[in-house]
Amino acid sequence: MIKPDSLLKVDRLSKRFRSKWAVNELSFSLSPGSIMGLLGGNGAGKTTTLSMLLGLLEPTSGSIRLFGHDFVKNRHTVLHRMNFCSPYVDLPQRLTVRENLRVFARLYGVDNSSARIEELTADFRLLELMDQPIRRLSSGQKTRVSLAKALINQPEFLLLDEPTASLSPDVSQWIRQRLRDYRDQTGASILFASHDMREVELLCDEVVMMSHGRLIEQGSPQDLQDRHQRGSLEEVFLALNEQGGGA
Amino acid sequence: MNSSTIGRISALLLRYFFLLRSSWPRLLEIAYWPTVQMIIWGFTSVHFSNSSPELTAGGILISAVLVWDSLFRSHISYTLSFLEEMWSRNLANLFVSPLRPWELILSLATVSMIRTLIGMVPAALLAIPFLESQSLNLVFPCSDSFSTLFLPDGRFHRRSPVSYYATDWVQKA
Repeated sequence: MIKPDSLLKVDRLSKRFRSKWAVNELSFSLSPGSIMGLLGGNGAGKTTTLSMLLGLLEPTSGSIRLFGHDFVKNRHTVLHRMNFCSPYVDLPQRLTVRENLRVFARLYGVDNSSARIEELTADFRLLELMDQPIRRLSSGQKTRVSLAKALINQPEFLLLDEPTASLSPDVSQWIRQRLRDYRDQTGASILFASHDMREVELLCDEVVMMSHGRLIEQGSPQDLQDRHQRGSLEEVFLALNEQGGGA
Repeated sequence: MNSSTIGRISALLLRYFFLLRSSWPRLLEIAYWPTVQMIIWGFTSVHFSNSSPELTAGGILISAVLVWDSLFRSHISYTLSFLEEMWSRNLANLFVSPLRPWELILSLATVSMIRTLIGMVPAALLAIPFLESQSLNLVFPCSDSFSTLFLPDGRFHRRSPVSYYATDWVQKA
């Protein structure tokens, strides 16, 4: 369902690789200030969808409207208002945390970048890591730096691709809390791709479930559980996949 | 070119400056091979100076080698700067930022020129006292040649700047 006041409107979005439809007629919208989870098993089309929403892949058909602009044709008009974080995309390994943040602050045209970097250093507890090269950091530390980079320009729209993959539960919980705080403080919208059902349940206001590139269910985590009379999102997802032939 | 564009290009230049600063072997390697080339061709030039003085007069041979090597190094520097982004898996971060493709190309071209200068200037300076080469005479033709190579103004397709300046310089020498 596409809402009129949406920050992001995705309409009949499709992506085909040769004969395979990775994303097929996907439509959803994201309201300002909400956190949406893009849920699905492996190969469901989450990362392909995110790649199209970032402008890394061109859709085969369909449209993306972001901040009221046609994102496919004019992505450079809105890219400075959004940012992205994924454990599968590294920051330059030889550069230190401070150097990386300085480069990305300049790349995004951040005013008073030193103050912003200091603020993020405190928020993400990076003070002791600032002069360490990225390659010497642990997975959890890299994720914190990557998130600090993603928030350097105070994005109004943040895209996250499994940001807590391979992290311990305490670090995951800490990152979820930071994301919730950021949304509450700035009113930013967050789109969160994950296959961790529990995490999506804890963090997201709304969920889009995908399987084989198609949208199979949409709603708030509680709505979905009530609608399918299940105790958790994971059970809902498994039930939907059984009905649809499995992931 | 507006201030945002300059800011984004300077961000990438800063990124490569940090990269070079972080590794002295990397910096040494840039200057090492042009110097080795200069020494090898310097000896060759000295060897031929008796039998074929027309070939080595005014340091033609060594200067030609330096011109060729500077073109070769600028090409390598450009390619390596791009590959560096691929190896560090940073391209996605760049492509989702407001950086435009032509700004990336301009940044890589600038970095490549800086890397080439880091490599060629020590070799060219060493050639003057050791080989009595007039290699610095090539500075202005070469800088124009590089700008022609990097800025797509159509001149490259009409006539190769390498052959143009090589012929021009040989005639003057």
